[in-house]
Amino acid sequence: MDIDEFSREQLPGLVRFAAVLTGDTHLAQDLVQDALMRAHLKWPLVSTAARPDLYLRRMVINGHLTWRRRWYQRTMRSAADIGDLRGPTAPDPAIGIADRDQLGELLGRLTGPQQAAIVLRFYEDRDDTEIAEAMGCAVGTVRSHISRGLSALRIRLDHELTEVSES
Amino acid sequence: MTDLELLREALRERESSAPDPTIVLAKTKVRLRRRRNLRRAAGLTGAVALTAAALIGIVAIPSAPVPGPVAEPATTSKLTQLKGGLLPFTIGEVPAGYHLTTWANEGDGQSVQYLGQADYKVLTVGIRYTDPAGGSGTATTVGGKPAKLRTIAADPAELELSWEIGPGQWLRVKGTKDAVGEQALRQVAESVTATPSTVAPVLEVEIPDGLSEESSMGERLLGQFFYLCPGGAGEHSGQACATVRLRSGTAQREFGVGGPNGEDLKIPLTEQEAGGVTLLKSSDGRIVVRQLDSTHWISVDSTQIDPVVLQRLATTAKLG
Repeated sequence: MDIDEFSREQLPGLVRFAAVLTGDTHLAQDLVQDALMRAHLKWPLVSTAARPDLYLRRMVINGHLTWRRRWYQRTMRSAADIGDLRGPTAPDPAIGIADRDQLGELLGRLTGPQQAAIVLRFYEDRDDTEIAEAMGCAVGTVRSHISRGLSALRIRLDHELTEVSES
Repeated sequence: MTDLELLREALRERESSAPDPTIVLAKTKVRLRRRRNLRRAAGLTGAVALTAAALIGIVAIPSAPVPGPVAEPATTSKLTQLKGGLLPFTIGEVPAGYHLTTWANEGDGQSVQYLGQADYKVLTVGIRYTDPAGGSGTATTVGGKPAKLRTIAADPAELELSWEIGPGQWLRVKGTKDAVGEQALRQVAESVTATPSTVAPVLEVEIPDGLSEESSMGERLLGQFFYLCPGGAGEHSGQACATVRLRSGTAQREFGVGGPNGEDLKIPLTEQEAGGVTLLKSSDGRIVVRQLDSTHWISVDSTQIDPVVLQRLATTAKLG
């Protein structure tokens, strides 16, 4: 398979993945373009990877993490916001998710690796091994990202619901 | 609905912000070509040094020595209608909600792509010079002619109808299987005729001997790109090509190029008269821009082809 054929087959899925990961059309476009550029420049390596589709996703994820770091460094944030970004890590099973709109907004506040792991698991239905390969980390780390991400989503929703009920 | 179902739904909702894959691919190809052209120049450093100097405006760049191998200025040329959005077929009907996004001529055929506004799925109609189905597919007919229907294992799966319209020429209609079903695909296929048509402004230029249109592509927002290469050489041959770009709007006095690391650089252009035509040129003559009419402009650039040839392409260009 050459890269043109690969692009034709994989690009629709890759742009959807990038869009779900970022929630932003332009950023998703930039990330996928950058990933394709890099893939093209080292295509012999990419094409011989066991799963080039996962390798491309890793490029998109790495690009997103880099973008998030740049954005974070350039943005003034209050101490409270920084706390929000880190998010709580302890699950609270008593608290559920309010609605998907709120959830969509809160997804953007998870850490980059948590977002990536959750999108790969719950949007692309990847198993732990595939997610680990796409993220370039150990399976245990994947499980940790997913667990902490889900916990953070539930607790954050509770935090916002409390604010609404008090207003 | 469980929490996880809500989560899956929230993630699926984000799909709607997915960019058009055809635009992503087209822009990537443009960046790759620019990068290739830059790297073919005098070992990168010369081009970057010139660019950097021009950018910060501290050095008056002399007429640039031509880096690398140079295509000789041709002595004869021929007025040629570039393919681009000039198709050898006409499409009578596409499914409701689909709009034209890109068109391409890539040597082995020409195609146009439509994107579904609601589902972001792609429909492709094109002509190929090799049988796209090969020996695969189910025998069927389109307009009474023998055709092949096959499913392509892609992500997502695609359905393709193809049929021979002449010796060595196959028309094919391809769509995302779960968005454009067989019936809709057939309707599109039945509406295609072998009558030439245009989907974008047609550009004519005098192409010097030794150059020919190797490929071209167009996109609604980016405009049209035509790659004129020595001896019709393919893009992987290592030979330099000239890029002719047709865009709508007004030409600017600076020209964006991709830097060696993929960054965007701006090259300043200055106004010059040539053969009664007003041009905007970079100091080394390797970027030539011309306003064709009140709403269209072209640029011609190359790192290896002689600036005289580039200027000739720009001055002879006209809309067909």
